Amino acid sequence: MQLLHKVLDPCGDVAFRPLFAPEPVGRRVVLVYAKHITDKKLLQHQVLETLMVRVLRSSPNASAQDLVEKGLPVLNVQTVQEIAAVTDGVLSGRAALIAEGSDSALLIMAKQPAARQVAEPSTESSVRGPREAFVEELEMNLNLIRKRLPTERLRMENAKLGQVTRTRVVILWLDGLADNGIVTEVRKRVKAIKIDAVIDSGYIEEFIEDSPFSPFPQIEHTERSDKLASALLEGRIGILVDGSPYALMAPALFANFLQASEDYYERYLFSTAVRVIRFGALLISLLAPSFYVAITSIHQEMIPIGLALRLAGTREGAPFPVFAEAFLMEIAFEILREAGIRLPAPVGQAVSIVGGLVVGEAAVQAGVANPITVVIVALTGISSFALPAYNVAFTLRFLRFPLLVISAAMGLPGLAVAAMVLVTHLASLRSFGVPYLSPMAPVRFGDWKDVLVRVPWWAMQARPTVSPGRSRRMARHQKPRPPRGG
Amino acid sequence: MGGTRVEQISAWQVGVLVFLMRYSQAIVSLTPPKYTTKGPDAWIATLIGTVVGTAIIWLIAASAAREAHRTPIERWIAATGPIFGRIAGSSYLVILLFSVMLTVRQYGGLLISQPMPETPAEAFVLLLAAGACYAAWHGPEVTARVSEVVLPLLLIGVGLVFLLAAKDMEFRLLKPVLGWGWTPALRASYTTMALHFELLPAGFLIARASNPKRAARAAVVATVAAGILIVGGSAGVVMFYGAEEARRIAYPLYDLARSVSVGEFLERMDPLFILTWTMGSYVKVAVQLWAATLALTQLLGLRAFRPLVAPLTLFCILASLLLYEGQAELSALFSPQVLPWVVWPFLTAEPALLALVEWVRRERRAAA
Repeated sequence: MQLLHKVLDPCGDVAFRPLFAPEPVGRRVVLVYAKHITDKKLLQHQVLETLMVRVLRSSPNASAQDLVEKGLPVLNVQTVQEIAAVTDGVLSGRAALIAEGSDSALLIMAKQPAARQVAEPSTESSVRGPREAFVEELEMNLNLIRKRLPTERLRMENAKLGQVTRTRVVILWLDGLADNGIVTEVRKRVKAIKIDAVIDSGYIEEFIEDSPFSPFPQIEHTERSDKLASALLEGRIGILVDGSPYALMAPALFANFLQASEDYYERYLFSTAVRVIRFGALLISLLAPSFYVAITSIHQEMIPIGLALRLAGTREGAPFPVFAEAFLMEIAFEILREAGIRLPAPVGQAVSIVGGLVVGEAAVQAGVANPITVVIVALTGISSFALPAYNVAFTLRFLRFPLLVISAAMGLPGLAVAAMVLVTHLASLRSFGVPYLSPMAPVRFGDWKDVLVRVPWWAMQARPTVSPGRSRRMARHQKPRPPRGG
Repeated sequence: MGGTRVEQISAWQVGVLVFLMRYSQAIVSLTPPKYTTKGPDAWIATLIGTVVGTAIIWLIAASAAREAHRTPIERWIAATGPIFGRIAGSSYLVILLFSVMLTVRQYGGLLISQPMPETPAEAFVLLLAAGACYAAWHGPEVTARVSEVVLPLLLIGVGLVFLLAAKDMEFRLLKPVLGWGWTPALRASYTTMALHFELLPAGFLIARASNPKRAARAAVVATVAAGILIVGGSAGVVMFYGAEEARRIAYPLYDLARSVSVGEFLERMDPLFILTWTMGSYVKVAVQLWAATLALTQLLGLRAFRPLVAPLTLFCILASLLLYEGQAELSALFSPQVLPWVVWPFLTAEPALLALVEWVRRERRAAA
């Protein structure tokens, strides 16, 4: 007890509440808890009253085990014997019950969650489909997943990371669907993390990815519980971190970043069309300004005469070359975008819209930029917003700048080689050993049903190859057919 | 990593790589229309060259598949010992380096002669070689994945050009068939046959395939597929320009791309053609560079190939610029009078000798 006092007293928010068993035993029992994160009502009614009124009166010599078995009407109780386990427990929302002369303590879960309620996803909104987003409370997030996957095959493995924060991390997978090798690798990488604090899942992401110097994310994150559940059903592995509303999913392939949950809830034709548009948006977002600069600066012969004359007219007296115009406008756009995100929502929107219109219009009026450059830059920016994964859109936006430079210097051949270097980099990436560009490269035709197109659900019979043995997810021949002879 | 970890590629990937190595350069610089001195029989010249070239590749691939997971250098060393094996194997290094130099120089040559005359050729040679160096450094597994991305783009690009040009092609321009006899077609076919030397890295790719026998088959099928498209391209160019005009054009398919347009939206397709051609050439140079580096690594008895990739690339860049000064020299090199005689020993004699030595060893071992 003295040791506990020595460790926990300096914290300032830990209470030691002594209780006494009645005479003739007169034994002292101490309840230790952290004041701000424990549920005091629970302690008052379920623990204190029960202990003082019933248990200690009837069996004053009760051991910790006896208390668990006979007395306490609390669900989550565990017996521990190490001081470190007691301090960890108390500081993470458990109440410790220690009886004088006993060599063990009881840890009673009495955490008062200081979390917001489950709300709609803010960064992955959809028109159709579930609207439950993860919150900062791990138990709540596990609840959301268990609700969707009430199967004994769902495995949850706990780990604690952060010497100071002692953050609880849970690795989730579906037994038989996830590749055991990948599960082992995820477990190994997560447990190898030695850091003082884990505040968000983003900390873990950077520690466990395959290629830490790549600008492309190799682990997907989501705030949607349905998306994590779907990923687990495809044989992928999830990681939930206490305090973070974002779950991590691995392995993550490049194609995963172009898919949205809604693709699977809307009709397949609509979903396919949207995916094609997204893919186009990806290409525009990355290549449009570079292509424009290459064409207008070096390969003017490609432009139809009418358009070329019009371009020449708008560029008459322009002080900057097309490259400088495009480069500066792109930077201005990025500044506006960043400003729009950091400001409070209503002001941010105003800054983005008004700023974009005013700056663009003023630049054209002042003759600093020609209208076509403004159109290209705006199209590029809007296209980047069409991508479901913010982190990939961010990467592509910034890769535009080196591509712009090489296009201005070397035209389309330069752009082509730069694009090839980019493809080579993507092809060299792996996410937990799975090639990043699969199933496009290496080609796995069986998985193409859910890449650029999304075939109907009844045709997606096998799980992706990331799941061992390409296990089937449904019975065969379920294509709907009207009744015969009707 | 590096050379210590043996990369494995699938048979399909070997096929795609071989296809791109054969086809990517051919899509701009079809040689038969240029070198068929009389008549419109360029397509026959291509056909003959492809048939003979495919037969040679079949022999090379089959012997590579028999000696599973060994590169030609390793096979020479295993068959004739470390000293003679290295001496004989070094010829592979020579031809592979020659192949890299030729490809990058040809790339620079076309770009400065047509769409970007103001940019020095050195810039393009450096651009392509440096990019391909990055892919070669990653090894064949990564380059194979890149090739899978490039293949559909290349086929769409070329297909689009032919589709748009089809309305102006006239079948009658292919006649008379063999009106001047077999001689002009046969002579022009030498270059097509000889150009199959660019496929010598296939022996190295098959050695890195997970299933060498299937990979060898895929290499042959890819050579045939590329040959069919090149035959079609030769015929198409003659049908579009006529035999006489096609003979005068340095880069017939490239010129074809310049002549087509998409409605009134895009006037000329040649820059788009350059995009696809660049992608194909990138893959081709990457494979050639990787094979050359691996050959050098094995000749020197080193374990990791990666440290040698950049120095060898630099050597190729400098050598290509020093060896060929201009377009005229390149054209002369590709003529039926020069290229076949330069590459023939490497393409036929050396692989045949290697296969013979291996056969003798196998027979002796069986007899013992």
